[in-house]
Amino acid sequence: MGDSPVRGGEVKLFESRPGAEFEALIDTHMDVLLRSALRLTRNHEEAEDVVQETYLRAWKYFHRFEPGTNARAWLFRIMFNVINQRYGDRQPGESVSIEDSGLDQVLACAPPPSISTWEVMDALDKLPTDYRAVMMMVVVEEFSYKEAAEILDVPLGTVMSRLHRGRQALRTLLLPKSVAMPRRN
Amino acid sequence: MDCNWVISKMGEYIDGELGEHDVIDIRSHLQKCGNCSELVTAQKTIDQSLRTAVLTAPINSADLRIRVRNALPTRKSFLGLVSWKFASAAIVTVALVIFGLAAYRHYHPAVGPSDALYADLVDDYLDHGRPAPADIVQPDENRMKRIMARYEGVEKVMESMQQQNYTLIERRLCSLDKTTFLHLIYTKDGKYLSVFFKRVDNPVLKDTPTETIANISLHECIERGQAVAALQGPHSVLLLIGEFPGRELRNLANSTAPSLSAA
Repeated sequence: MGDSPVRGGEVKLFESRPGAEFEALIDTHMDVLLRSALRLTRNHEEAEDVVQETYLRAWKYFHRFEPGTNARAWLFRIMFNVINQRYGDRQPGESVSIEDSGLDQVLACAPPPSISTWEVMDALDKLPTDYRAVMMMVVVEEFSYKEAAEILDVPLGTVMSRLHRGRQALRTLLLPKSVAMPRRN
Repeated sequence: MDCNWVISKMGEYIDGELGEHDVIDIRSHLQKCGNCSELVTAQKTIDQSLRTAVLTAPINSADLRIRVRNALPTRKSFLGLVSWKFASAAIVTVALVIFGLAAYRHYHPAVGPSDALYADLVDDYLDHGRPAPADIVQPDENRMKRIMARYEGVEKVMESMQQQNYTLIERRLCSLDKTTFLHLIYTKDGKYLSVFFKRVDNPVLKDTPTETIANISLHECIERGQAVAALQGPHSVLLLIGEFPGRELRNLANSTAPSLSAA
C-alpha cells in the first residue's frame, strides 16, 4: 500500500484545505472588505493585516455561521471587531472636528458641482474613523441602518447621528465656498 | 413641516429608511422649496461620487488571497472520519438522487422565472452586440430594496407597469457593458418584457447622451423593427427590451417616460 491513504478498509485521516463554502467567502468578499479596510486604516499594509485577521477569525467561528444568512454583514461585523481591538480609541491621521452645527442651518449650495474622485476620497479620509465607518457601511456598502448598527455594534441612534454629521461635514468640505446660511421657514 | 424638519430627515429620505407618509411629506416640500431641493440633490451627488470613488478605486488583493489561504489552519476532512464503504454508498445514493431529479426535470420542465428565461432575456440584449454579462452577487431582500430606492424613477415605472397589467416576476442586478443594471422582468399575456435601469446621477456620466450611456442606437433598432426603447430621466436610464411588437413597446416607453422624468 505504501503511501496510499486506504488502510485496512478505512480511509486514512488526512488534512484538507478549507471547504468550498469558505473558499467562496474569500473569493466573493475579500475585495469588498479590503476596500473598506483601506478607507478605515488609510494604510495598505494595515488594511491587508486587518482583512487577514478577519478571515482567520471567520474560519475559527465558521461553524456558527448560518448558511443563507448575510455573509457580507457577518464578515464586516468580524472586521470591525478586529479594527476596534487593534486600534481602540486611537485614530490614525488627522481628522476634521465634527460638530453638530444645529438643524436650523441650511447650506445654500450651488447646483451640484462635479466632484472629482480625488476630492471626495480626500474629504472622506478627513472624517474621524467612527464617522467614516458609518458612511462606508451605509452610503457605499448600502447596508440598512439596522444592519449597520449591528455590524458596528452601536445603537441605531448613533448610526443616524454619525451619518447626519458625516454628511454635513462632507458637504462643508466639498461644496463650493457655500456659506452655511441660517434659514427658517 | 419646515425646512429644519426636512433637513433632519434628509439622510433617511435618501437612504430609503423613511415611512411612506414622511416620504410623501418630504416630496411635497421639495417641490415647493428650491433650497431644500438643491440641498438634497447636492447630497445625492456627493453620495454618488463617494460610491463611485470608493468602488472604482483599483484594488489588488491577489497576494492577500494567497496569504490568507496559506494562513488558514487545516481541518480534518469529513470523509476522513467515515469508512470508505459508507462513503461509497453515500456517493452512489446521492448520484442516483441527482440523476432522478434531472430526469424528472427533463420530463416536467419548471414553470415560471428561471435562469434559462433570464439568459434568454439577456440574449435579447446581447443581440445588439454587447459583451456577455459578468457574474454578479445578487443582494439579499433588504439590500435590494435599498438599491432600488437609489434608482430614481423605479417606483414610478413599477406603478405605471402595474397599472397596465404587467406582472413583475423577477428583479435582479446584472452587469452589462461592465456596469451594473437593475433588471426587472415583467410578463403579460404570456410574453416577457425586460426593463433595465441604469443610474446616471454620476458626475462622470452627467452630461453624456442617453444613447452613449445605454450603448444602444435607438434609431437603428427602430429601423430594424427591433423591440427596444430607451428613456432618460434626470437620474436613470431606462431600457425596455421584450417580446412585444416594437410599436407596443414604444407606446409603453412613452407612457412610462413622464413618470420617469417626473421622479
